[in-house]
Amino acid sequence: MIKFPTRCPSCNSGLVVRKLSCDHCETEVGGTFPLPRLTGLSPDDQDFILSFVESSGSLKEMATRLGVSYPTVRNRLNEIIDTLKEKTP
Amino acid sequence: MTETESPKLPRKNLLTWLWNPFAVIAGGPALAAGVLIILATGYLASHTLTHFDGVLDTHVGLRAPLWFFLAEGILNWLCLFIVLLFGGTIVAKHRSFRIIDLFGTQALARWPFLITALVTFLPGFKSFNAKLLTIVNQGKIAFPSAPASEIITFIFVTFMMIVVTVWFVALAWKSFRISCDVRGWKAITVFTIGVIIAEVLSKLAFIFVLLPML
Repeated sequence: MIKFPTRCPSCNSGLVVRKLSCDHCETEVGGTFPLPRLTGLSPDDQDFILSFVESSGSLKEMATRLGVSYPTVRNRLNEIIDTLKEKTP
Repeated sequence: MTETESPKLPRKNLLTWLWNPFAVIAGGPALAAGVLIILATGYLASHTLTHFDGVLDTHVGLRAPLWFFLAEGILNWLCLFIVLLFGGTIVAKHRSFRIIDLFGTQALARWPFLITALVTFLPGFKSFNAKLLTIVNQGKIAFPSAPASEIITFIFVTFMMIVVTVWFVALAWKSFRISCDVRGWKAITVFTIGVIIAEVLSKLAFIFVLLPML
């Protein structure tokens, strides 16, 4: 799977979207669009957030579904919260 | 619903159950299992007069009723739990941890002592220990004469007691780390000091609360 780039490989600054295009009619839209905050997370972390939403935000349900303990899931969420805080200017 | 699994999350296998059980069990289930194991350990220990007379201690010899052995296990569990709960509230970065997780996992962390209670049943240990106690009670320092099988059993049981204590400390740390979401040197320091305080507390409780009730 191709990794979605969020940082500049040269200076490590955050990247922005310059161009969006429609695959159907090939219309192109240009501008400066900031990336959503969640794209700053690793694919694993994004999967975790997705799973969290799918579980209606219930850590208990998520722990049962993933076969791990409640504090394991909660700690992982805490890690992601910390990562998001670090990446927020 | 899409099943999204993260490779960072632990898997249920034998190694996880032995070394990092709280990654897969905590809260109420850990509490129920832990209490059952503490009581089973006390029951078995009462047959071989094995006392867990301190958070980290194991001694053999003193005659006591069943309730005394059961109370020892519960006392040790509560002492370390209370101290680590206090430590956790100081050092935890996120204040959202559940007390039930620390309470339950600390109970289950004591499960290796069940192995200690079981190995003291090995033939030869009781008789060698009785000979050793007789010599010690006479105020002498000597190695009792006994068959080689008894000596080997005694060495093995003593070795297992040390292994179990180290294992318990490792599990107690994992329980603290996972339940309170703490890490780093600050957490290790708080845990180490906590274990020492809990050991002193449990010893004091044993001497001044439990023993007078005998």
